[in-house]
Amino acid sequence: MSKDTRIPKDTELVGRVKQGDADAMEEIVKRYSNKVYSLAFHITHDTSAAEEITQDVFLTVIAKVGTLENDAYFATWLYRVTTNAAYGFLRKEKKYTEQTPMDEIDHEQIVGFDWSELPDDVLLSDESKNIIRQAIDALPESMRTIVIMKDVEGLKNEEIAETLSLSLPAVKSRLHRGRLMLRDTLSVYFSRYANRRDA
Amino acid sequence: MNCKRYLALLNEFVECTLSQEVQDDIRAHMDTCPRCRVIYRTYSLTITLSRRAESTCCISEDQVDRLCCLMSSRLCKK
Repeated sequence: MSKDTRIPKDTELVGRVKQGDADAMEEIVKRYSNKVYSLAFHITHDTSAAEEITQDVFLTVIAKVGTLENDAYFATWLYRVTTNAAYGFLRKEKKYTEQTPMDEIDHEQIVGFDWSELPDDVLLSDESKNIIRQAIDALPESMRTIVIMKDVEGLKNEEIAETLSLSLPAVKSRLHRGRLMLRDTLSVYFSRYANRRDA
Repeated sequence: MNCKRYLALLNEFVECTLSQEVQDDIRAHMDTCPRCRVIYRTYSLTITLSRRAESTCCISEDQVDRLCCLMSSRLCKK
């Protein structure tokens, strides 16, 4: 008899895990461990914490997957568990304090010089990478999580909305505001090069 | 199209989720407004830099193997 080589869908694997199938759980771990770890790491910036969170997330899968009513939402449920665990870690370690978001984006303030034409060695320098990492970390949690999920992890807006139990317009709005805040920070940082270019 | 409306739609414009008509309006606005053109360029680049600033990280194969073993043993105990 030929071996079944098709790739099982999440819904099939989740159904089998609910029945206690260890092979299906192993496949889930192989399929999602990197995504869970990456999301946890980008929220915590701590490799040990990311490993611990990844383990806890999959233990939560075993313990609570039975409560998942629609297996098609497994991935977004997994991301939600991961996000909650990562912020739980940060709060426990007191490494995260939510900042007050800007109430309104001031168009006049965010117009700066056109730093998009700066050379790559400036734009991609270690210093500029640090600046943007710090800026992402300083975003209010409601925007930070969405920016990480979208711009770092590459999730779709719909997946983020489902994961965070938000409406699609809310995701888009927070993403936009977060990106504008990051752009603001980078504009301030790169403005030091404005005079050098004009000279 | 004015600058305020342009800014409100910039996110959708970058993601190409607007109607062709609105996208054309935005492009026409950028052609006449250098400030909004700068915002578009730097906003788009901010997204690119966010992706590049955060290092790609992978869980080790050993860790995945350990997770698989742990999960299997937990499921067998249930």
